[in-house]
Amino acid sequence: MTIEMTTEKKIIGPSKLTKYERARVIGARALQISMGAPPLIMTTAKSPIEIAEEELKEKVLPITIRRKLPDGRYQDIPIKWLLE
Amino acid sequence: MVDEKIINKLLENYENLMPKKLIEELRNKLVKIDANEEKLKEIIEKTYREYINALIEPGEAVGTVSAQSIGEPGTQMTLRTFHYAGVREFNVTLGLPRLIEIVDAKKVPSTPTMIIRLDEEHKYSLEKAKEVASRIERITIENIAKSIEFDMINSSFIIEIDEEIARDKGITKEYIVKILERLKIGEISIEGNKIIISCSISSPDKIKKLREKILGLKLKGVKGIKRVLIQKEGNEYVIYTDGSNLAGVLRVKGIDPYKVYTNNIFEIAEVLGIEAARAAIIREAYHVLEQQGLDVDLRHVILIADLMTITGKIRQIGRHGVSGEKSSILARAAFEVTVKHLLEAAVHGEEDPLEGVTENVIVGQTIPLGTGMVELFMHFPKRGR
Repeated sequence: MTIEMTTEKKIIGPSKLTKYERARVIGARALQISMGAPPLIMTTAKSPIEIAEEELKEKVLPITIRRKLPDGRYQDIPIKWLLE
Repeated sequence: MVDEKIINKLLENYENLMPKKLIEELRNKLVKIDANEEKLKEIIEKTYREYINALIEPGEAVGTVSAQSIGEPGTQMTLRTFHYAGVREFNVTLGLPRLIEIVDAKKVPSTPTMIIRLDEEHKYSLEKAKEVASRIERITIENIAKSIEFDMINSSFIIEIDEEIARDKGITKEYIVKILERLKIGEISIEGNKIIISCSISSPDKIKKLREKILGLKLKGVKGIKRVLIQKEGNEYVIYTDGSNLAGVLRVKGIDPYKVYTNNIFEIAEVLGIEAARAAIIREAYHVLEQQGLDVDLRHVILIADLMTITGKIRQIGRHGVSGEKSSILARAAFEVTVKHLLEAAVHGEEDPLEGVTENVIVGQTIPLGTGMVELFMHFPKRGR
Protein backbone atom coordinates (compact mmCIF):
# COMPACT_ATOMS: atom_id res chain seq x y z
CA MET A 1 0.00 0.00 0.00
CA THR A 2 1.40 3.34 -1.00
CA ILE A 3 1.15 5.91 1.70
CA GLU A 4 1.78 9.50 0.95
CA MET A 5 1.17 12.54 3.08
CA THR A 6 -0.36 15.49 1.38
CA THR A 7 0.29 18.55 3.49
CA GLU A 8 -0.72 21.31 1.10
CA LYS A 9 -4.00 23.01 1.56
CA LYS A 10 -5.64 21.11 -1.30
CA ILE A 11 -8.06 18.85 0.48
CA ILE A 12 -9.00 15.30 -0.36
CA GLY A 13 -12.77 15.06 -0.60
CA PRO A 14 -15.27 17.82 0.12
CA SER A 15 -14.01 21.11 1.52
CA LYS A 16 -16.53 21.02 4.34
CA LEU A 17 -17.15 18.61 7.17
CA THR A 18 -19.36 15.76 5.95
CA LYS A 19 -22.35 14.75 8.04
CA TYR A 20 -20.57 11.56 9.04
CA GLU A 21 -17.43 13.34 10.16
CA ARG A 22 -19.49 15.82 12.08
CA ALA A 23 -21.43 13.09 13.87
CA ARG A 24 -18.26 11.20 14.65
CA VAL A 25 -16.39 14.24 16.00
CA ILE A 26 -19.25 15.29 18.22
CA GLY A 27 -19.77 11.71 19.37
CA ALA A 28 -16.13 11.16 20.24
CA ARG A 29 -15.81 14.43 22.07
CA ALA A 30 -19.10 13.96 23.95
CA LEU A 31 -17.83 10.62 25.18
CA GLN A 32 -14.68 12.22 26.54
CA ILE A 33 -16.68 14.93 28.28
CA SER A 34 -19.15 12.45 29.72
CA MET A 35 -16.22 10.58 31.24
CA GLY A 36 -14.93 13.67 32.92
CA ALA A 37 -12.76 15.53 30.44
CA PRO A 38 -12.71 19.28 31.07
CA PRO A 39 -14.63 21.29 28.45
CA LEU A 40 -12.51 23.61 26.33
CA ILE A 41 -15.00 26.45 26.46
CA MET A 42 -17.07 28.29 29.02
CA THR A 43 -20.61 27.15 28.57
CA THR A 44 -23.93 26.81 30.31
CA ALA A 45 -24.88 23.73 28.30
CA LYS A 46 -25.68 20.72 30.43
CA SER A 47 -25.42 17.58 28.31
CA PRO A 48 -22.06 16.38 27.01
CA ILE A 49 -23.39 16.30 23.48
CA GLU A 50 -24.44 19.93 23.65
CA ILE A 51 -21.04 20.87 25.03
CA ALA A 52 -19.32 18.95 22.26
CA GLU A 53 -21.49 20.63 19.65
CA GLU A 54 -20.62 24.03 21.01
CA GLU A 55 -16.93 23.20 21.10
CA LEU A 56 -17.09 22.22 17.47
CA LYS A 57 -18.88 25.45 16.63
CA GLU A 58 -16.23 27.47 18.43
CA LYS A 59 -13.52 25.63 16.49
CA VAL A 60 -11.56 24.84 19.60
CA LEU A 61 -11.35 21.07 19.15
CA PRO A 62 -7.78 19.98 18.43
CA ILE A 63 -8.92 17.07 16.28
CA THR A 64 -7.54 15.88 12.95
CA ILE A 65 -9.42 13.76 10.44
CA ARG A 66 -7.63 11.22 8.31
CA ARG A 67 -9.28 11.00 4.92
CA LYS A 68 -8.24 7.94 2.99
CA LEU A 69 -8.47 7.24 -0.71
CA PRO A 70 -9.18 3.73 -2.00
CA ASP A 71 -5.60 3.53 -3.32
CA GLY A 72 -4.15 3.92 0.16
CA ARG A 73 -3.16 7.55 0.02
CA TYR A 74 -4.38 9.69 2.83
CA GLN A 75 -4.34 13.19 4.17
CA ASP A 76 -4.56 14.40 7.74
CA ILE A 77 -6.89 17.37 7.84
CA PRO A 78 -7.37 19.54 10.96
CA ILE A 79 -11.10 20.13 11.35
CA LYS A 80 -10.43 23.86 11.43
CA TRP A 81 -9.81 23.65 7.67
CA LEU A 82 -13.18 22.12 7.15
CA LEU A 83 -15.12 24.65 9.19
CA GLU A 84 -14.64 27.33 6.51
CA MET B 1 -29.71 41.47 -22.05
CA VAL B 2 -26.10 40.76 -21.40
CA ASP B 3 -23.50 39.88 -23.90
CA GLU B 4 -23.27 36.15 -24.37
CA LYS B 5 -19.51 36.50 -24.47
CA ILE B 6 -19.42 37.63 -20.87
CA ILE B 7 -21.53 34.67 -19.78
CA ASN B 8 -19.33 32.25 -21.66
CA LYS B 9 -16.22 33.80 -20.14
CA LEU B 10 -17.64 33.53 -16.63
CA LEU B 11 -18.76 29.95 -17.14
CA GLU B 12 -15.38 28.97 -18.52
CA ASN B 13 -13.90 29.07 -15.03
CA TYR B 14 -16.34 26.39 -13.91
CA GLU B 15 -15.82 24.05 -16.81
CA ASN B 16 -14.04 21.37 -14.82
CA LEU B 17 -15.93 21.99 -11.60
CA MET B 18 -19.48 21.34 -12.73
CA PRO B 19 -21.02 18.82 -15.14
CA LYS B 20 -21.37 19.96 -18.74
CA LYS B 21 -25.13 19.55 -18.68
CA LEU B 22 -25.51 21.81 -15.67
CA ILE B 23 -23.34 24.50 -17.26
CA GLU B 24 -25.36 24.28 -20.45
CA GLU B 25 -28.61 24.62 -18.55
CA LEU B 26 -27.25 27.55 -16.62
CA ARG B 27 -26.09 29.22 -19.82
CA ASN B 28 -29.52 28.90 -21.39
CA LYS B 29 -31.15 30.47 -18.34
CA LEU B 30 -28.61 33.26 -18.00
CA VAL B 31 -28.97 34.38 -21.59
CA LYS B 32 -32.65 35.10 -21.00
CA ILE B 33 -32.38 37.20 -17.86
CA ASP B 34 -31.34 40.79 -17.49
CA ALA B 35 -28.42 41.11 -15.09
CA ASN B 36 -25.09 42.84 -14.92
CA GLU B 37 -21.79 41.09 -14.71
CA GLU B 38 -21.65 41.26 -10.94
CA LYS B 39 -25.04 39.64 -10.56
CA LEU B 40 -24.14 36.95 -13.05
CA LYS B 41 -21.02 36.11 -11.11
CA GLU B 42 -23.08 35.79 -7.97
CA ILE B 43 -25.65 33.55 -9.63
CA ILE B 44 -23.01 31.24 -11.02
CA GLU B 45 -21.17 31.07 -7.71
CA LYS B 46 -24.41 30.28 -5.89
CA THR B 47 -25.27 27.57 -8.41
CA TYR B 48 -21.83 26.09 -7.90
CA ARG B 49 -22.34 26.10 -4.13
CA GLU B 50 -25.69 24.36 -4.54
CA TYR B 51 -24.11 21.79 -6.79
CA ILE B 52 -21.34 21.07 -4.28
CA ASN B 53 -23.90 20.73 -1.50
CA ALA B 54 -25.95 18.32 -3.56
CA LEU B 55 -23.06 15.92 -4.11
CA ILE B 56 -23.06 12.61 -2.29
CA GLU B 57 -20.80 12.69 0.75
CA PRO B 58 -18.02 10.16 1.08
CA GLY B 59 -19.18 7.34 3.31
CA GLU B 60 -22.72 7.19 1.98
CA ALA B 61 -23.87 3.62 1.27
CA VAL B 62 -24.73 4.33 -2.35
CA GLY B 63 -24.80 0.67 -3.37
CA THR B 64 -27.35 -0.25 -0.74
CA VAL B 65 -29.46 2.76 -1.61
CA SER B 66 -29.33 1.82 -5.29
CA ALA B 67 -30.29 -1.77 -4.58
CA GLN B 68 -33.26 -0.67 -2.54
CA SER B 69 -34.31 2.01 -4.96
CA ILE B 70 -34.48 -0.46 -7.81
CA GLY B 71 -35.59 -3.44 -5.73
CA GLU B 72 -38.63 -1.89 -4.14
CA PRO B 73 -40.26 -0.66 -7.37
CA GLY B 74 -39.27 -4.03 -8.82
CA THR B 75 -41.72 -5.71 -6.49
CA GLN B 76 -44.48 -3.66 -8.06
CA MET B 77 -43.67 -4.73 -11.56
CA THR B 78 -46.13 -7.03 -13.15
CA LEU B 79 -44.41 -10.34 -12.78
CA ARG B 80 -45.86 -11.86 -15.88
CA THR B 81 -45.55 -9.21 -18.53
CA PHE B 82 -43.54 -11.71 -20.45
CA HIS B 83 -44.44 -10.22 -23.74
CA TYR B 84 -46.15 -7.20 -24.98
CA ALA B 85 -47.36 -6.37 -28.42
CA GLY B 86 -45.39 -3.21 -28.98
CA VAL B 87 -45.14 -2.96 -32.70
CA ARG B 88 -48.06 -4.75 -34.26
CA GLU B 89 -47.37 -8.47 -34.33
CA PHE B 90 -44.04 -7.97 -32.61
CA ASN B 91 -43.20 -9.34 -29.20
CA VAL B 92 -40.61 -7.79 -26.94
CA THR B 93 -39.85 -9.05 -23.45
CA LEU B 94 -40.30 -6.26 -20.95
CA GLY B 95 -41.00 -5.92 -17.30
CA LEU B 96 -39.36 -7.99 -14.61
CA PRO B 97 -38.18 -10.81 -16.89
CA ARG B 98 -36.27 -8.34 -19.03
CA LEU B 99 -34.76 -6.56 -16.02
CA ILE B 100 -33.57 -9.90 -14.68
CA GLU B 101 -32.11 -10.68 -18.08
CA ILE B 102 -30.13 -7.45 -18.02
CA VAL B 103 -28.64 -7.80 -14.53
CA ASP B 104 -27.99 -11.49 -15.08
CA ALA B 105 -26.00 -10.52 -18.18
CA LYS B 106 -27.66 -13.15 -20.32
CA LYS B 107 -25.66 -13.72 -23.50
CA VAL B 108 -28.69 -13.53 -25.78
CA PRO B 109 -31.93 -11.80 -24.79
CA SER B 110 -35.06 -13.93 -25.06
CA THR B 111 -36.43 -11.58 -27.69
CA PRO B 112 -33.54 -10.01 -29.56
CA THR B 113 -34.63 -7.06 -31.68
CA MET B 114 -32.98 -4.35 -33.66
CA ILE B 115 -34.06 -0.90 -34.67
CA ILE B 116 -32.39 0.08 -37.90
CA ARG B 117 -32.50 3.56 -39.28
CA LEU B 118 -31.71 4.18 -42.91
CA ASP B 119 -29.39 6.61 -44.61
CA GLU B 120 -30.48 9.78 -46.39
CA GLU B 121 -31.01 8.03 -49.69
CA HIS B 122 -33.30 5.29 -48.41
CA LYS B 123 -35.21 6.64 -45.45
CA TYR B 124 -37.88 8.71 -47.21
CA SER B 125 -39.33 6.21 -49.63
CA LEU B 126 -41.11 2.98 -48.85
CA GLU B 127 -39.76 1.36 -51.98
CA LYS B 128 -36.16 2.02 -51.04
CA ALA B 129 -36.78 0.99 -47.46
CA LYS B 130 -38.20 -2.29 -48.67
CA GLU B 131 -35.14 -2.77 -50.79
CA VAL B 132 -32.89 -2.43 -47.74
CA ALA B 133 -35.18 -4.62 -45.67
CA SER B 134 -34.96 -7.41 -48.19
CA ARG B 135 -31.19 -7.21 -47.92
CA ILE B 136 -31.45 -7.67 -44.16
CA GLU B 137 -34.14 -10.31 -43.79
CA ARG B 138 -32.77 -13.81 -43.74
CA ILE B 139 -34.42 -15.99 -46.35
CA THR B 140 -33.76 -19.69 -46.74
CA ILE B 141 -35.29 -22.21 -49.10
CA GLU B 142 -37.54 -23.26 -46.25
CA ASN B 143 -39.20 -19.83 -46.24
CA ILE B 144 -40.25 -19.88 -49.88
CA ALA B 145 -40.82 -23.58 -50.51
CA LYS B 146 -44.34 -24.95 -50.40
CA SER B 147 -43.04 -28.46 -50.07
CA ILE B 148 -39.92 -30.50 -50.53
CA GLU B 149 -40.10 -34.13 -51.44
CA PHE B 150 -37.71 -36.87 -52.35
CA ASP B 151 -38.61 -38.92 -55.40
CA MET B 152 -37.37 -42.42 -54.70
CA ILE B 153 -37.75 -43.67 -58.27
CA ASN B 154 -35.67 -40.98 -59.94
CA SER B 155 -33.72 -40.33 -56.75
CA SER B 156 -34.26 -36.60 -56.93
CA PHE B 157 -35.48 -33.78 -54.71
CA ILE B 158 -38.54 -31.88 -55.83
CA ILE B 159 -38.87 -28.43 -54.34
CA GLU B 160 -42.16 -26.69 -54.95
CA ILE B 161 -41.74 -22.95 -54.80
CA ASP B 162 -44.46 -20.69 -53.50
CA GLU B 163 -44.31 -18.19 -56.31
CA GLU B 164 -46.24 -15.50 -54.53
CA ILE B 165 -43.85 -15.39 -51.60
CA ALA B 166 -40.86 -15.66 -53.88
CA ARG B 167 -41.98 -12.68 -55.90
CA ASP B 168 -42.66 -10.71 -52.72
CA LYS B 169 -39.17 -11.38 -51.44
CA GLY B 170 -37.70 -10.65 -54.86
CA ILE B 171 -36.24 -14.06 -55.55
CA THR B 172 -36.35 -15.74 -58.95
CA LYS B 173 -36.15 -19.47 -59.57
CA GLU B 174 -33.03 -18.94 -61.62
CA TYR B 175 -31.42 -17.32 -58.61
CA ILE B 176 -32.34 -20.30 -56.41
CA VAL B 177 -30.86 -22.66 -58.98
CA LYS B 178 -27.68 -20.64 -59.02
CA ILE B 179 -27.38 -20.91 -55.26
CA LEU B 180 -28.25 -24.62 -55.30
CA GLU B 181 -25.56 -25.28 -57.86
CA ARG B 182 -22.96 -24.21 -55.36
CA LEU B 183 -23.85 -27.23 -53.23
CA LYS B 184 -22.67 -29.46 -56.10
CA ILE B 185 -25.16 -32.23 -55.51
CA GLY B 186 -26.32 -32.98 -59.03
CA GLU B 187 -28.28 -31.83 -62.08
CA ILE B 188 -30.81 -29.11 -61.45
CA SER B 189 -33.76 -28.33 -63.70
CA ILE B 190 -36.85 -26.15 -63.50
CA GLU B 191 -40.30 -27.47 -64.29
CA GLY B 192 -43.13 -25.00 -63.83
CA ASN B 193 -42.95 -23.90 -60.23
CA LYS B 194 -40.86 -26.90 -59.26
CA ILE B 195 -37.15 -27.24 -58.98
CA ILE B 196 -35.83 -30.73 -59.47
CA ILE B 197 -32.45 -31.79 -58.18
CA SER B 198 -31.40 -35.20 -59.37
CA CYS B 199 -28.76 -36.78 -57.27
CA SER B 200 -27.61 -40.35 -56.96
CA ILE B 201 -27.95 -41.16 -53.32
CA SER B 202 -30.19 -43.72 -51.76
CA SER B 203 -29.40 -44.18 -48.08
CA PRO B 204 -32.20 -42.64 -46.01
CA ASP B 205 -29.64 -41.20 -43.65
CA LYS B 206 -27.97 -39.17 -46.37
CA ILE B 207 -31.30 -38.08 -47.82
CA LYS B 208 -32.35 -36.69 -44.50
CA LYS B 209 -29.08 -34.82 -44.08
CA LEU B 210 -29.23 -33.37 -47.57
CA ARG B 211 -32.82 -32.32 -47.10
CA GLU B 212 -31.86 -30.33 -44.00
CA LYS B 213 -28.97 -28.80 -45.88
CA ILE B 214 -31.18 -27.69 -48.75
CA LEU B 215 -33.87 -26.30 -46.47
CA GLY B 216 -31.38 -24.24 -44.49
CA LEU B 217 -29.67 -22.85 -47.55
CA LYS B 218 -29.28 -19.10 -47.29
CA LEU B 219 -30.67 -17.21 -50.24
CA LYS B 220 -30.13 -13.69 -48.97
CA GLY B 221 -30.10 -11.57 -45.84
CA VAL B 222 -28.21 -11.36 -42.59
CA LYS B 223 -27.73 -14.35 -40.32
CA GLY B 224 -29.99 -14.30 -37.30
CA ILE B 225 -32.57 -11.84 -38.58
CA LYS B 226 -35.78 -13.82 -38.65
CA ARG B 227 -38.25 -11.15 -39.63
CA VAL B 228 -38.27 -7.51 -40.58
CA LEU B 229 -40.93 -4.91 -40.29
CA ILE B 230 -41.00 -1.46 -41.83
CA GLN B 231 -42.55 1.27 -39.75
CA LYS B 232 -43.15 4.88 -40.58
CA GLU B 233 -41.87 7.25 -37.93
CA GLY B 234 -42.48 10.88 -38.69
CA ASN B 235 -41.43 11.26 -42.28
CA GLU B 236 -38.91 8.46 -42.37
CA TYR B 237 -39.08 4.71 -42.55
CA VAL B 238 -37.48 2.61 -39.85
CA ILE B 239 -36.82 -1.11 -39.92
CA TYR B 240 -37.62 -3.25 -36.90
CA THR B 241 -36.29 -6.76 -36.80
CA ASP B 242 -36.91 -9.97 -34.96
CA GLY B 243 -33.48 -11.37 -34.20
CA SER B 244 -30.28 -9.46 -33.89
CA ASN B 245 -26.89 -9.41 -35.56
CA LEU B 246 -25.20 -6.07 -35.15
CA ALA B 247 -21.97 -6.92 -36.94
CA GLY B 248 -23.90 -8.32 -39.90
CA VAL B 249 -26.38 -5.48 -40.21
CA LEU B 250 -23.63 -2.85 -40.05
CA ARG B 251 -22.25 -4.26 -43.30
CA VAL B 252 -25.54 -3.84 -45.16
CA LYS B 253 -25.74 -1.01 -47.67
CA GLY B 254 -28.39 1.65 -47.15
CA ILE B 255 -28.51 1.73 -43.36
CA ASP B 256 -27.32 4.53 -41.13
CA PRO B 257 -24.52 2.85 -39.19
CA TYR B 258 -24.60 5.53 -36.50
CA LYS B 259 -28.22 4.85 -35.63
CA VAL B 260 -28.47 1.08 -35.56
CA TYR B 261 -29.73 -0.22 -32.26
CA THR B 262 -29.96 -3.69 -30.78
CA ASN B 263 -31.13 -4.92 -27.40
CA ASN B 264 -28.41 -7.56 -27.35
CA ILE B 265 -25.91 -6.05 -24.92
CA PHE B 266 -23.18 -8.61 -25.56
CA GLU B 267 -23.26 -7.87 -29.26
CA ILE B 268 -22.82 -4.20 -28.53
CA ALA B 269 -19.88 -4.96 -26.24
CA GLU B 270 -18.28 -7.07 -28.92
CA VAL B 271 -18.75 -4.71 -31.83
CA LEU B 272 -18.63 -1.27 -30.24
CA GLY B 273 -16.77 -1.78 -26.97
CA ILE B 274 -17.46 -1.81 -23.28
CA GLU B 275 -18.39 1.86 -22.97
CA ALA B 276 -21.15 1.36 -25.50
CA ALA B 277 -22.28 -1.72 -23.61
CA ARG B 278 -22.43 0.30 -20.40
CA ALA B 279 -24.62 2.87 -22.12
CA ALA B 280 -26.77 0.06 -23.49
CA ILE B 281 -27.27 -1.46 -20.04
CA ILE B 282 -28.31 1.91 -18.67
CA ARG B 283 -30.66 2.52 -21.56
CA GLU B 284 -32.26 -0.91 -21.54
CA ALA B 285 -32.70 -1.09 -17.77
CA TYR B 286 -34.04 2.41 -17.53
CA HIS B 287 -36.40 1.79 -20.41
CA VAL B 288 -37.87 -1.22 -18.62
CA LEU B 289 -38.43 0.75 -15.41
CA GLU B 290 -39.86 3.69 -17.29
CA GLN B 291 -42.16 1.54 -19.36
CA GLN B 292 -43.59 0.05 -16.16
CA GLY B 293 -44.27 3.54 -14.89
CA LEU B 294 -41.68 3.35 -12.13
CA ASP B 295 -39.84 6.53 -11.30
CA VAL B 296 -36.32 5.41 -10.45
CA ASP B 297 -33.45 7.88 -10.49
CA LEU B 298 -31.14 7.29 -13.41
CA ARG B 299 -28.07 7.40 -11.18
CA HIS B 300 -29.02 4.14 -9.47
CA VAL B 301 -29.12 2.45 -12.85
CA ILE B 302 -25.82 4.06 -13.82
CA LEU B 303 -24.18 2.68 -10.68
CA ILE B 304 -25.29 -0.83 -11.55
CA ALA B 305 -24.08 -0.50 -15.12
CA ASP B 306 -20.73 0.79 -13.89
CA LEU B 307 -20.39 -2.09 -11.48
CA MET B 308 -21.18 -4.59 -14.22
CA THR B 309 -18.72 -3.19 -16.75
CA ILE B 310 -15.84 -1.87 -14.61
CA THR B 311 -13.56 -4.82 -15.39
CA GLY B 312 -13.88 -4.30 -19.14
CA LYS B 313 -16.10 -7.32 -19.51
CA ILE B 314 -19.79 -7.58 -18.72
CA ARG B 315 -20.29 -9.31 -15.40
CA GLN B 316 -23.63 -10.31 -14.02
CA ILE B 317 -24.86 -9.20 -10.64
CA GLY B 318 -24.71 -12.45 -8.74
CA ARG B 319 -22.91 -15.71 -8.27
CA HIS B 320 -20.92 -15.83 -11.50
CA GLY B 321 -20.18 -12.16 -11.59
CA VAL B 322 -19.89 -9.32 -9.14
CA SER B 323 -20.62 -11.26 -5.94
CA GLY B 324 -18.49 -14.25 -6.86
CA GLU B 325 -15.47 -12.20 -7.87
CA LYS B 326 -15.13 -10.05 -4.77
CA SER B 327 -11.54 -9.72 -3.70
CA SER B 328 -12.17 -10.47 -0.05
CA ILE B 329 -12.25 -14.14 0.93
CA LEU B 330 -14.57 -13.61 3.85
CA ALA B 331 -17.02 -11.65 1.73
CA ARG B 332 -17.11 -14.43 -0.82
CA ALA B 333 -17.46 -17.07 1.87
CA ALA B 334 -20.36 -15.16 3.37
CA PHE B 335 -22.15 -15.22 0.05
CA GLU B 336 -22.17 -18.84 -1.10
CA VAL B 337 -20.37 -22.18 -0.68
CA THR B 338 -18.68 -20.97 2.49
CA VAL B 339 -16.49 -23.98 3.19
CA LYS B 340 -15.09 -24.23 -0.31
CA HIS B 341 -13.93 -20.63 -0.31
CA LEU B 342 -12.43 -20.82 3.16
CA LEU B 343 -10.65 -24.09 2.43
CA GLU B 344 -9.20 -22.81 -0.80
CA ALA B 345 -8.03 -19.61 0.85
CA ALA B 346 -6.42 -21.60 3.67
CA VAL B 347 -4.64 -23.92 1.25
CA HIS B 348 -3.19 -20.98 -0.62
CA GLY B 349 -2.38 -19.06 2.53
CA GLU B 350 -4.36 -16.02 1.47
CA GLU B 351 -4.73 -12.86 3.47
CA ASP B 352 -7.76 -10.64 3.91
CA PRO B 353 -7.05 -6.95 4.45
CA LEU B 354 -10.54 -6.45 5.93
CA GLU B 355 -11.34 -3.49 3.73
CA GLY B 356 -14.95 -4.14 2.88
CA VAL B 357 -18.18 -4.08 4.86
CA THR B 358 -18.95 -7.81 5.05
CA GLU B 359 -15.53 -8.81 6.36
CA ASN B 360 -15.70 -6.32 9.17
CA VAL B 361 -19.17 -7.43 10.17
CA ILE B 362 -17.87 -10.98 10.37
CA VAL B 363 -14.93 -10.13 12.61
CA GLY B 364 -17.02 -7.73 14.65
CA GLN B 365 -15.36 -4.42 13.90
CA THR B 366 -16.89 -1.10 12.96
CA ILE B 367 -17.66 -1.17 9.26
CA PRO B 368 -16.00 1.28 6.90
CA LEU B 369 -19.17 3.15 6.04
CA GLY B 370 -20.63 6.45 7.18
CA THR B 371 -19.36 7.42 10.64
CA GLY B 372 -17.43 4.17 10.84
CA MET B 373 -15.18 5.39 8.07
CA VAL B 374 -14.00 8.51 9.87
CA GLU B 375 -10.61 8.26 11.52
CA LEU B 376 -9.93 10.82 14.24
CA PHE B 377 -6.73 11.92 15.90
CA MET B 378 -6.60 14.26 18.83
CA HIS B 379 -3.66 16.49 19.59
CA PHE B 380 -3.88 17.66 23.14
CA PRO B 381 -2.73 21.24 23.58
CA LYS B 382 0.39 21.84 25.63
CA ARG B 383 -0.14 22.33 29.31
CA GLY B 384 -1.05 25.87 30.23
CA ARG B 385 -1.66 26.91 26.62
